[in-house]
Amino acid sequence: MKLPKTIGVAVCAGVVASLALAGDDSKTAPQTPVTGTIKGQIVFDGEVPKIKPITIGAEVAKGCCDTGGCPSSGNVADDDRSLIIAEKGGIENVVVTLTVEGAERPKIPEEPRMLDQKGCRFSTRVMIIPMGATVAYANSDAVSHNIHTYAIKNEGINITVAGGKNSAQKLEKAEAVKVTCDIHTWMASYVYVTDATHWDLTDAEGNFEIEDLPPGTYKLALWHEKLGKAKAEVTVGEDGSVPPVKIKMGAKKKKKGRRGR
Amino acid sequence: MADRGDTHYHVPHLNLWFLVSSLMFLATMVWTVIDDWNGEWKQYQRDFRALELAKSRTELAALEAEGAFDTEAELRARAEQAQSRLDEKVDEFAEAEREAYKRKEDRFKIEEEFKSEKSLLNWWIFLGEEEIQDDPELTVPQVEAEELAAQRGRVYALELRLEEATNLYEEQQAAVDTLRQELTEAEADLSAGTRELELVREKIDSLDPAALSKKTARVLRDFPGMDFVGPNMKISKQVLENLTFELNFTKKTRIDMCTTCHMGIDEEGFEEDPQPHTTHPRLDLYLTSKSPHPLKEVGCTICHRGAGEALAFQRSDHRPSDDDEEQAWHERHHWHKQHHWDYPMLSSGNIEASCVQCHQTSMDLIAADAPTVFRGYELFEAKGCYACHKVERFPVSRKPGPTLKNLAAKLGPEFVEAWVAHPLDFRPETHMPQFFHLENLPEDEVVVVSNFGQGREMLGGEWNRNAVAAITTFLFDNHPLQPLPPIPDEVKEGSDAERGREVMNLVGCFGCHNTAPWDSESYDGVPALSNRVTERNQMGPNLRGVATKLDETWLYNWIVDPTQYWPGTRMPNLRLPDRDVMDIVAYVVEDPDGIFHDAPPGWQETADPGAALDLEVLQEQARWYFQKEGRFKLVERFEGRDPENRWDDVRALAAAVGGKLVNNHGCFSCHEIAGMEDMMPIGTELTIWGTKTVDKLDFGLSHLMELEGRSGTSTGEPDVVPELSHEYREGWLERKLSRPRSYDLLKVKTPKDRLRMPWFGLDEEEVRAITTFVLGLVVDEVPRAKMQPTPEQLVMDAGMRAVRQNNCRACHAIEPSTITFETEDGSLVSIAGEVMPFFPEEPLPPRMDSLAAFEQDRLDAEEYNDEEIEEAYVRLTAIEPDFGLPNDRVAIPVDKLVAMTPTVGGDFVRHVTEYYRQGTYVRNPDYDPDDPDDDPFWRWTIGWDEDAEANLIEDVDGQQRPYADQEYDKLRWTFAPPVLLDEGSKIRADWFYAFLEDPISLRAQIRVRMPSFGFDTGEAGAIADQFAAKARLDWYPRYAKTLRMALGREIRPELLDGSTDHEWDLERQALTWPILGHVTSGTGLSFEELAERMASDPGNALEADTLRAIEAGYEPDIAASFGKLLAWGTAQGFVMAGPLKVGHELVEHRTPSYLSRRDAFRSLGQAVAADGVNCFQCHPDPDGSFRQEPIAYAPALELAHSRLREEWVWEWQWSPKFKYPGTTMPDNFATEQPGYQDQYPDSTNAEQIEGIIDWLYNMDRPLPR
Repeated sequence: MKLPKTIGVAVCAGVVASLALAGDDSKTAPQTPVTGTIKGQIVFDGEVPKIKPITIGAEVAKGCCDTGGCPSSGNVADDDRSLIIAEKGGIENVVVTLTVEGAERPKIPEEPRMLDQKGCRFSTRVMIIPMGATVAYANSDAVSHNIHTYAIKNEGINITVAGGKNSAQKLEKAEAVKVTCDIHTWMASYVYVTDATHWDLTDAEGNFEIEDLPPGTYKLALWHEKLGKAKAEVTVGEDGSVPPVKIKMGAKKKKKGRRGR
Repeated sequence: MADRGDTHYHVPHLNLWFLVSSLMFLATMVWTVIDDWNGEWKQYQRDFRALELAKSRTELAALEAEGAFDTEAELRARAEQAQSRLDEKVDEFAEAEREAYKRKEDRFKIEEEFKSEKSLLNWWIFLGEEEIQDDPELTVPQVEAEELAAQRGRVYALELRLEEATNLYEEQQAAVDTLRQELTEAEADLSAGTRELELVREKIDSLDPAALSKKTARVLRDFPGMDFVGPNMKISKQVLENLTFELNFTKKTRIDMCTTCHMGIDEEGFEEDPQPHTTHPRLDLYLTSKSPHPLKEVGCTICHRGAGEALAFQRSDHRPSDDDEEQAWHERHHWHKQHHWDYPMLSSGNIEASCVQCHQTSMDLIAADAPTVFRGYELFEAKGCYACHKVERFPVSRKPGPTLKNLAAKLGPEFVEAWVAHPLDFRPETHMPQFFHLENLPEDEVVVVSNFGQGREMLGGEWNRNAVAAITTFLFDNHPLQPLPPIPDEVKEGSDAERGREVMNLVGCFGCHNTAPWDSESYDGVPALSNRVTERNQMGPNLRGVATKLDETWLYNWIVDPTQYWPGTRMPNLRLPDRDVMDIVAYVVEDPDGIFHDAPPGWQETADPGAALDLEVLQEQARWYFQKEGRFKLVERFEGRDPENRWDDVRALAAAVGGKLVNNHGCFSCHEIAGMEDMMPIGTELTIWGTKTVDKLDFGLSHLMELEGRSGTSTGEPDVVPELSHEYREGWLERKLSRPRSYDLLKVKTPKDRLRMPWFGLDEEEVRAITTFVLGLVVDEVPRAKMQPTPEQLVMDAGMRAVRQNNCRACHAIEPSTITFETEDGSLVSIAGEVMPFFPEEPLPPRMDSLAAFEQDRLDAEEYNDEEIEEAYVRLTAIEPDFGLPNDRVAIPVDKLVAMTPTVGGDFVRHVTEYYRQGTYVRNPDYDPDDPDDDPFWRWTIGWDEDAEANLIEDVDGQQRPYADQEYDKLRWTFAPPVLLDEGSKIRADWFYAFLEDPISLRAQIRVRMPSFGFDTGEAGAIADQFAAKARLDWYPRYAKTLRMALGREIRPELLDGSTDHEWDLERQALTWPILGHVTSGTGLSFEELAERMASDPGNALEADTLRAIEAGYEPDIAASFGKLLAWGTAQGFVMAGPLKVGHELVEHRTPSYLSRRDAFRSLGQAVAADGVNCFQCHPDPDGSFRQEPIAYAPALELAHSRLREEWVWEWQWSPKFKYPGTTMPDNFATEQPGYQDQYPDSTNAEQIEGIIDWLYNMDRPLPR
């Protein structure tokens, strides 16, 4: 218990120290570019809906927990991860992206990002990868899973991944790809392929942080699987200062006509 | 001769007269010859030659621009160089040839010597053997051994020399060949490289010879008086011995000289040129020798009509397509209609009429190529024209209208009386026409002068109202109520209208019915299928307002089994549980959405049926319709003195008059009416109506008046009044169809004699279509043998008709959707594919009904997402060699899209999917006009309010589940009716037939019911056979596409660098469909590349255009050239399963001989299927139970062996996504490492699949221990 706390304090101290240093640098050495960091929180707007656990068929869940991927109860985890709202209203798993004009896109990681199927749930609900990166769909369970991706621009795949195996796919186009397993119908995950230069995914409290931004005004693009899209504008001051950002996201607006919901 | 004065005439004068008159005669003769020589057509021929010449010159210039001249010069130079090198070495060459000859000579001498010595040796050996035979004591031949050995030696030595001499000779010959080869090659290149150029040059030379001698010869050949020998300009004619036509009571051979002027008609390249030079617009169908209607066999006038032997514009009876053209022709050619020619040319709008004369019994087969006449044929069937008007060989004979025998169980007289008067007021699109209140019995005019002079004069309105009321009285009196079984109480209790809405939307009602609002402007956006009118959801009536007329018990009984009420109905039996039926009835009767009580504005039932009956008018009607009885008998009846006909009672009189009216108007032609079952139809026979000449048609006094106003409904749009043409029979018919009673106007007629043809409310397009069809009903001029359909065509036609008439396409897609767009090089391309949703958050993909619908959805999505959409992503649904395999994505810039066509059939697929996500589109009960943002007039039923209960959908297991967040693709492939693209390749025809006759549940999760159709004899078989026949025909283009694809793709680089531990046999499998999809990537060869590669095998070479035609499914080219493609493809190592066999196919995997060899494979298959892949996660266990929720249900595997073709299962196992892009069946064997390799280490992917098929086809047979 003690150890993590210490690390937390150390990290905080580090951030403060580096910020202070950066401030000093700008005065003494103007050739070093000034950068700022956007820190923000995304909170739910409106009455927080009651979220029920998902239903899991007993018959089809047989064997899911044989290799120990399940929580301590020994059953498949049944929490609904499609919309997670913290007590204080922060929304988890919101994708925040931002593009700095003229900035280089970050390097594409050589190693594939792993999306594991463990205890008949996906290891992550939402992952963000840059355009051109590879995802490895893995199966740590003993039972067979399939990977069914609902891609629009990338190739949609639907393959069986036998127990203990994995299969990789390179995603070349920017879009949010839903990944499901048709055998275990409750399993779902999103791979968010982005062409932006900066991004972050909100944590359990709805917080995100985007670093290394030169002064200027930026458009933040927000995406959440259930709440849809939102936009916000943030300015990084000449001295690199950024006011704390708080963005609200609510349920999607109902539409008339063809579109329906 | 001088005048001697002894005659009364003066000779010199006479001579002068002779001179003058002979000069005049000469001049006239010259004039005659010149006039005859210089026919109108010659100018056209000259023009055409000039046009051809200009085109050839342009072509030559284009070739020059492409560098063809340089290439030619280069090739020629090469050939010359080779020749000159050969010339330089002339001595060397001569020496070499001499040497070769000498060596050949030497070799020959040695060979002769060798042969003689060898025969001597054989002789020695023979002698020795003979000795041994003669003397059994001898074991060694006594022939001198030394001699023998020496001879042997000589032979061996000679053999050696012969070999040496042969080698020497061949060496020398090779040297000679090498010297010559260079020249041979250069010459071959020259002729190949300049062939195109030479052809153009030859053409130019033939059109405009450069040599003076040739030029002179041409002029002379065409000179008057000389041109009978071999003229350059000549009349071109087709003599069609067996396509006679009737002329003045004789059969005359048809001779078509049209091509004399229309010289470019059968040649490509003149599409843009003016008439008469223009190319025919459909050379694939007509004129060319490989088309189904070659010029030499069919000619022109059999289709176009007109005068084929005429050689002048006016005399050939050309037909202008509109007034402007008529005016222009009149000015240019003094054109007017040829009044005395009985076969006027057909106008372009009606030209398809000609198809009917040969294809009348197989119209479905030509539907795609003759849309107008096919529409006419469909309308002729749908509107029931055939029921009143006999047409021999018309393939339908059922009564088109519902039976009236138990009318009282269904409707009340309030409805019937109003309906008979104005059926289109209640349902604008009904096929039931209007018989009364039409223009030849005008409402406010005196139309009846009393018969026998006994009654009073009467207005048309009185007459009509009484007739309608009398008919209603008759129908109810004549058909006493036969009570239907009541709805059981236990069913009726607890009925649920909201659930009924779901049942009605999901089981399939809206495949054939719609509930479109009367005013289509009253809803916004594009709502659910049930609110729209499509081609196929008009099979049954629009159900809006239906609850205002129907009896609840009748409706219940009707849905339970429609044939109980109307045995001939097309409405199928959905085999619904009683509860579902009752809930539908409750939904309709309680009508929570305000649909079924919404009668059209202006419609009113008759409040007091029978109130219109007026004794005086009825008596008058009786006087006309019972005229034969005589006036005294009638008076007796009117006064009630005839006990059998007590007509002093209004009802009795009305029933009697009503019966006569029904009889007179032929109601029984369409409806079953008790006592009138065997009556003959009342309309004119139309079997050869198209041959009737205009003078036989009664135009009445129509030339005296202009028609105005409308003929029929009391509501709705005014009528169309086509301009009346007295010149052509179609003019009469068009007027007849749109204003059926108008030829009565201004005439004096008794009420009985007036025209009775009813008014159908047809629009302009419908009138033209029906006219086109009827125009085609002509005397059989074409011998039957000429157009005898092949057995395959008969099967296709019968099957297509059954598919159409049973509306299979409402639920099932049978052809893929297509997208046409402009590629980067500016050419137009069509691909089979579907547009993906614009964003992952979009509930549905955009509509593909048309480009306009797509654009509307795109703009809508742009607005909602506040993001511009630049590209449409298309998922291919078939192999498109230039773009990819099924399931590949093609990004198309939206501004390059040119056209979109939806799938043929399958409208209901989207409806079901839409319903699962957002329900149906209904009027909002909470509508608040002051707050349009939150409470629109219309709303979706699911997801509108947050109350979760309303958003759930009942599954087949009885559970309620939410589906609004499911992916479109998943819902579509799981809950919608299955697509039947290329179904014939998948399903065994015999199983399919049995299934159609007696459907079983295949996909347990689907709530849409495959109905029991109660097919007519042969219909189900025709459908099954047609799918098989279509698959067989479609196989050829598919083979061509797949081959082109296979040869162009490259092996995936990651499989070649050795980094993956794969089990692929790359060499072989890169050319085996469908495995090649997993080991290769990229697109196919272009047509030109493939043609070039085929050229290296001259025996099987095909042109790029031929390959194009094969892929387009053009049968003549397939018949002529497919064999070559197949032979060549096979020689390349390309492997693909063959086409279906005709007739019954054996299930090879179940034969004892096969199974005796396959035990090990079956065990492997079972292991992979049950333990590895674990098919039973989704497919039901052999006892029928599922481990899954319905959304993951899959069909029962036990059915596979009787239902599926093995070839299809093989391809399906390899790659489900190539068959059904988007399907939930995963690729189990797609990865390079066989997934179950570690479990079954000795098997490859292919072996595992083979094993699974062995197991699958024998699941019902235990494995031997």
